[in-house]
Parts: sequence; structure tokens; C-alpha cells
Amino acid sequence: MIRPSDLRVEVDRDGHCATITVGGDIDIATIGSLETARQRALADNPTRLVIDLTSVGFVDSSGLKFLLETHRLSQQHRWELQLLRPAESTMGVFRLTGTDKRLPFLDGD
Amino acid sequence: MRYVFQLLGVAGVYVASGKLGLDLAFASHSVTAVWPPTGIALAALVLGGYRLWPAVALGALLTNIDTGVPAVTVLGITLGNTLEGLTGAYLLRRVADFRPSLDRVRDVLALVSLGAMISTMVSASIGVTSLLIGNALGFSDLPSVWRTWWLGDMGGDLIVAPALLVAATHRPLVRGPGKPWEAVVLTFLVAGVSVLIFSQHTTFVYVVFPFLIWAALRFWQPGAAVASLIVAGVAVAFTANGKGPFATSGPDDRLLLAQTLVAVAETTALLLAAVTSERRRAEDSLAEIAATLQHSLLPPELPAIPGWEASSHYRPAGVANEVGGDFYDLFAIDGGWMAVIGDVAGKGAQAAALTSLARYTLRTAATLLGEPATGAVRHLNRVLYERPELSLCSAVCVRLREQANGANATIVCAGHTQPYVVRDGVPVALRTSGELAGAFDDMTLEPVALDLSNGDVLVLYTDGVTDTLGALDRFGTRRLEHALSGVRSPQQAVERIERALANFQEGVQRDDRAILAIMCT
Repeated sequence: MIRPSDLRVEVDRDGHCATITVGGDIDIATIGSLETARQRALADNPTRLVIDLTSVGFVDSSGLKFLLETHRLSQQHRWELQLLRPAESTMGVFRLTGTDKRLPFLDGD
Repeated sequence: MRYVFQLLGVAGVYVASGKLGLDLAFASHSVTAVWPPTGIALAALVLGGYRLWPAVALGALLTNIDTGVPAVTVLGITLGNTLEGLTGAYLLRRVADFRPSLDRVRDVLALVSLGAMISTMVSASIGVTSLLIGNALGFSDLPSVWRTWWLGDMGGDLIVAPALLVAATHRPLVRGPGKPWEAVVLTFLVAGVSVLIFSQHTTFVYVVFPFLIWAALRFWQPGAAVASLIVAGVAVAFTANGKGPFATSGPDDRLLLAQTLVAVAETTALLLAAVTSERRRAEDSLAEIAATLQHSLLPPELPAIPGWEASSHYRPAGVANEVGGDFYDLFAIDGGWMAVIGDVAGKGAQAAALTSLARYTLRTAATLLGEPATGAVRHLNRVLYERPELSLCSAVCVRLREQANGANATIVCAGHTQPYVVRDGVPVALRTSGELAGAFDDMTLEPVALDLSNGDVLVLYTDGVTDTLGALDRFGTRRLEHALSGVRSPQQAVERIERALANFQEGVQRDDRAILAIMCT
């Protein structure tokens, strides 16, 4: 059984585009590994960062803060951020906070 | 008069311990490998001030007067011993900003370097010169006698002085975590192990270290000092009688070896005690800062409002002294009341500072702005957005105006978990919506107006409640609604949620939790 709080993070760097693929629950206990992943993904100054949230089951306020921070970074340093939309049940925190319309969500495949 | 008694007391102890040391002298009747008076003089001058110098001079004079050397030599030695103590005390007090309680690492290092190593050279040099002048010493013996003198005095500063300094400054004597029975056991163990080591011709003298470390960790400076004194007493007693690991060396040398071992062990123990108590002080001040902050973040208790009942619950995640990012508030505004609950994203001191900022911004803005109800939240958004680092806060502000048979509530939700109204025991979620404060320079808010009847319970809570992790999933709103079913009072609402969370939660609490429930009666 996978504990609900487990987080799997993969970083893929391919020239100008970096991708962070996340699976599991993003909360206060797992946010650290995501921050490390962002650091690695941005190491080569990519022009685009994709964060794949399609397999994320839960996002809490610290996860939301992480995404808003990343969004602000992308605006300051002029690179593109794309978020691959998680399942409808996970979108709750984004809708609750009004950030579903503000963050650059793309529909996943 | 008191001063005279002090002088006589110090001089008396000095002479007594000096005679004891001279009894152990071999190479010369004036030079001994064990010289406790140095430590007594240093402790007296550090604790009592320079004005006690006549006691040191008198003590040194009386101790050396009948050792069979010429008067000029006795006077020289007296001068050397007095100057040694004054030099040590001066260096410690003036140069090192020394605290005699030895509870900082720098105090121990200062005692070892400035006191034990440097000031003792004064006495050794003047003393040896005095012996030369009085023809009590040949030139060829000078290096070894100087060394014996120096090391003997050093032993006094390292073994005797710490015990006196600690005994005089530690009130209560034991502040460490060690228990009284433990002290008794440890005393017997230290004495027993010391006797075993120093009565046999063995080489494993290092066995004393674990016991000194134990004493230092559990009983701090007093433990280190007392344990070292026991080891020193046993070591000197056996070694002087030709027993123990150093027996094969000459009489003065073996005492020096034994004493050096104890001095090194004691220094180690004192350093360890200093590190331990430094860390404890740091932890204590951290806990105090956290508690003070925490105290400023929450209303000490909810105000009593005529016609209303209110109840709250707050529980930060993690250890007791951590400050959380959740807050709530209930206060009077023009024409009514304002109930607030909020949650700042983040952890630690930064989150605590932000929590305080958010709570007082909302309180001040709501008090001053009055209308519209969304004003305070918009103001908070501006304050947070203008901060250099991303500062987020979700909050619910409820403006309450009393009316016949109840109250009118305007609920403004800024990206926060949705409040509930429990009416006739049935919980109903309030479909409010609004954006998180601090994320963007403008914000959309859709306040909801609601008439509360007498007996309706309004329940505000933070996401620490619904995000609580159970064995398989999160607590969620469904379990929250279940807990709130049949609730008739704020107190009952808070108790029910607490109990449901306690039953549901698996493992440690990860996020802060706050609940505020109010009802008009």
C-alpha cells in the first residue's frame, strides 16, 4: 500500500525545457523534495519549466505556496511555466483559493 | 572587620593546602608537583577581587617560611605566588570577560590558557630565580625545577580553582538533568574506578573518561568539578605512595604525570559541561521567544460578548515550542463584531512573524475601515503583496451585526476553507469564494450575507483540520460534517471536532489546527 503522503519526484532536463514529474501527495512533509527538484531543474536556466501534476492526489497550502513561488520566479526571470492539470479531485485547493484561474494550467494528456 | 575575616580565611585555607602540597615535595623542599594554593589564590582573587591579595601574600609567606631556604628566597617566592594570582585574575577579568560559573566554552578556554598556562609562568620564573639567589638551587637543575613548578601550579588552577569557582557561583548547585540517586551512584563509581586505576600498575587510565563525561553531561559544571576532584584526590594519594600506573617514574615526575592526566580529563569534562549548558541556554531562550510570540499571536482568551457564546481551539504542529501559522481573533468593530480565522503558509520564525502581521493588519484595518466588509481583507492583500518575498495568507472574516432574534453576518473568504453553519443540528457549508491574500496585486472577493438565528452555530476552521492524515486518506469535509451533526453549542462543536480528529489521526500532527465557533443566544 502506498502511504497517502508519499511523494515521487523526477526531474528531466532536455535542452531548453525542464520537466518535473510529481506523483503522490504534496504537503508540508514532502514539500522539501519538490524544492530540491526545482533547484535541479532550473540549474541550466531552461526557457520553459513543465511541472506535471497529473498523478498528484493532494495539494495542501504549502504545495500551493510552492507553485505560486515558482510562478513568480518565472515572471521575474522571464521563462515559461506550464502546469499539467491534476485530477479534478485535486483541483479543490486551487479553486478554493482562486488560483485555478491565475496559475498556468494546461490540460494533461 | 568582614574584610579581615575574609583575609584570614583565605590565608588559612592557603596555608593548609600548601603544607599538604609541600609534604609531597621531593626534588626541593620548596618545589612540589602538587600545589593547590595556586587554584585557591586564583579563585579568591577572581571571586573576591584584587583587594584579597594580602591574604595570598600572607598565606604564601607562612607556607614557605619554614622550608629551610634563606629569607630572601621566601620573600621572592611569596612575591611570585602573589603576582601569579593577581596576573591570572587580571587576565581573566580584564582580557577574557571571564564568568566564574564556567558555563561558556570561552570561560573554560580562558581559565586553561590565561590562568593555568600563562599566569603560572610568573610564579615559576620568580620562584626559581629566588631559589637561585638564595643558593637553594644549582643552575643545572633549573629547567626541570621550573617545569615542575609550572606544572604543579597549573594543576592547582585546573583542578582546585574550577571546584571553588563553580561552588561559589552555581545556585542551585545542580541545574543539570541528573537525579540525586544518580549522583550518589556516580560518586561511588568515580571513586571506585579511580581507586582501581591508581592502585594497580595498569595502563588503562583512560577508563576514568566515560565517568567524567557522564558527570559533565548530567550534572554540568558541578558534576565535572566534583568528579575531577575525586579522581585527583585518589590519584595523588596513591601515586605519592608509589602505587599505580606512573609508579616507575621518579617521585616528582609520577605526580606530575598523574596530575596532568587529571587536569586534561577535567578540562575535557568542563568543556563538555560548558557546551551542554550553552546549548541548554540556547534552547531555553528559543523556547521563551517562541512562547512569547505564540502568546502574542492568539487572543489570551475570547472576549465575553453579551448575547453570544464562543469557543476556540488551537494546536500547533510539532514540538511544544514551535510557533504555528494559524490564528484567530474576535473583537468589536463599529456597530458589531468581527470574527477572524486565518492561516499563513510556511513554517518557523518567518511564518510566525507573518502570522502576527496578518492578524494585526486584519484587526486594525477592520476596526478603522468599517465598510465595506471586504476592506480589511483587501488591505491585507496589499500589505502582503508588497513584501519582497511571497507572503500568502488565507482568511475568513465574518462581520456580525445584531438584529432581532439573531444577527446578520457578512462572510468574506480569502482562499480559505469554507465555514459551516450548524442550524438545528444540521451542518451546512457556506459557499463563499475569494482569492488567497498576498498572491496577486488585485483580488476577487465574493462576500456572502447570511442571517443567523439564535442557536445557529457558525464554525470557522483552518485546513489543518480537513487535511489531517488518517490511515488511508485525509479527514476531509465529509468527516467534519459528520462530527458537526447534532451540535448545539460552540463548545460542543469544538469538542466534537477535536475528538473526531483524535480518533482519525494516524501518526504525528503535521499542520497547525485552529477552530473558532460562535453562536448568538
